[in-house]
Amino acid sequence: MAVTEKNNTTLSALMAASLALPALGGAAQAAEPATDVSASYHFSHYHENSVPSSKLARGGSERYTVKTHQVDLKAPFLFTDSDIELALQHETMSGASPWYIEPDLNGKPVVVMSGATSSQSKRLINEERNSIQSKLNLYRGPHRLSLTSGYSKEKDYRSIQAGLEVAKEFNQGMTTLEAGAGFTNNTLNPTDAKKYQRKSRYHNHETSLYGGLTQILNRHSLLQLSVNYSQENGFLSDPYKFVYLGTKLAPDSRPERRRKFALLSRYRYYIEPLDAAVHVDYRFFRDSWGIHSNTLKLAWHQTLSHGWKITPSIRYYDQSQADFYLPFSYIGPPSNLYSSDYRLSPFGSISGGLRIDKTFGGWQFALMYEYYRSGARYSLNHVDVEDPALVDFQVLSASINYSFGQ
Amino acid sequence: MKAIITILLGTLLLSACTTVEPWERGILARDDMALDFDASMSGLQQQVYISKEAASGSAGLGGGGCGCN
Repeated sequence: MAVTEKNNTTLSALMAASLALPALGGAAQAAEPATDVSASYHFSHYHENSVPSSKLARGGSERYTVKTHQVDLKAPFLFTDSDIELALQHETMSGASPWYIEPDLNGKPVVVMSGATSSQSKRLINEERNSIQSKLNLYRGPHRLSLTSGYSKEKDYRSIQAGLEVAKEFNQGMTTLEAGAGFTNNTLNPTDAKKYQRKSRYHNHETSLYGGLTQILNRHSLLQLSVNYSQENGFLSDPYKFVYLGTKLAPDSRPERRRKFALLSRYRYYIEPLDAAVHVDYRFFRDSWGIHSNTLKLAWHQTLSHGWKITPSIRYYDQSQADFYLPFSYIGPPSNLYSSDYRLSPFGSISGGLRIDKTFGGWQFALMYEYYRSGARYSLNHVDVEDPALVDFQVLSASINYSFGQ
Repeated sequence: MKAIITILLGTLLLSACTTVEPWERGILARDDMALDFDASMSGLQQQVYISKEAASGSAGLGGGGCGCN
C-alpha cells in the first residue's frame, strides 16, 4: 500500500511537472496557445558608416539612418485554444543611398550618391514607413493552424501579404512537421518617375512555400531543418538606380522573374555545467539570378545570476554576384539586363553582436548592439572588383516586455 | 564547404536521437533553447539583412516587403 501510494505520488508529480512545462518556443513547434496577455516595445537605431572619400565620386558621404519603433501584442483569442499576435511598426528613414558607379581617372570604380547634383536633391531620402502584421494561431491537439497577414506603406511603396501555416507534432511530441504558403503583392510609385526614366506605377508579387522538420535529439539538444522556395514576378528593378555605360546613364534593368531557394538548419544545445545555450544557424541560398550564398550565425546565451543574461554572437555571410551585375561599362552592356546595385555584387560580411537581458517579475528588458562590416576581403571567392558602395553599419536596439499573467 | 556541412548535419542527425519523455523536456523548454529566442528582435534583424544582402529566406513565412534602399 505504501509502495502504491509512493508510486502514485511520483506519477502525479511527474504529470504535474510535464503539464507545468511551458510549450517549446520557436516557429516550428505546434506548441500551445498563450494563456496570458503580453506586450512589448522595441526600438532600433540603424546607422550606416559614411562612404570613404577614396570611394566617393560625387554627392554627400553620409548614408542611411533608420529609426524603428515596434509594438507587439500577444493574447488569447475569442475561441478556446487560440491566440493572436499583432505587430505595429513605424520607421523613419533619412540620408542618401548609392545612385550609380563610375570609373575615376585611373579606371577605379567610385560611387555617385543620390543628391549628387542640385536637380537630384529630392533623392536625399527622408520618409517613413508604417506596417501592421497579424498572426492568428488555432491549436487542436498536436495540430496548429496559423493565418498571417500584413500591410506596409511608404510614400512610394505599398505591400500586402497573407499566408497560411500548419504544424503537427509526431512521435510523442519529439518531432514536429511544419509547412506554409504565403503571397505578397507590392506596388511601387517611384518619386520623380519621369526624371528617372520610369513609369509612375509598377507591380510585382511573390509566392513563397516552405516546409520544416524539428527534432528533439536528446534532453539537451534539438535540431530544425527547413526549406524555403519563393518566386517573384513583375518589376524587380530598382527604380532609383542607374548604370554608367560610357556615354550615357541607363536605368537599372533586372529580369522580371526570380526564383529563390534556401535550405536552413538551426541547432540548439544546452551546456548544463555552464548554464549556457549554444545556437548554431546555417543557411544555404541560391537563386535564378546566379547568386549563391552561405550564412552562418553562432550565439552563446549565458545565464547569470539575479535574472541577468548576456549573449555574444557572430555572423558570417557570403554571396556571389548576380549574372547581370555590371559596376560600369565603357562600351555598353553585354545584354539588356544590367545593374550596378552593390547588393548584387560579390562580397562577404562579418558582424558581431552583444545582447544583455534582465528579467524580474513579469518584466524583461533587453539591450543589443551589432556592428556589421562588408567587403571583398570577407568573400569566400576571389573578387575581381570590389563594389565601392558596400556598406558597414551598426545597430543599437532596446526592448521592454511585460507579461500580465506573472 | 558543402561536404563539411553535410557531414556536420549528418552527424548531428545520427547522434543518439534518444526518446525524451515530456517531463524530461524542462531544458528544451527554456527561453534560451527556443528556435526564435526573440522573434521580434530577430524580425528586425532580418529586415536589415534582407535590405542589404541578396539572399533571403527564413524558417517560416517572411513579413511584407519594403522599398528598401
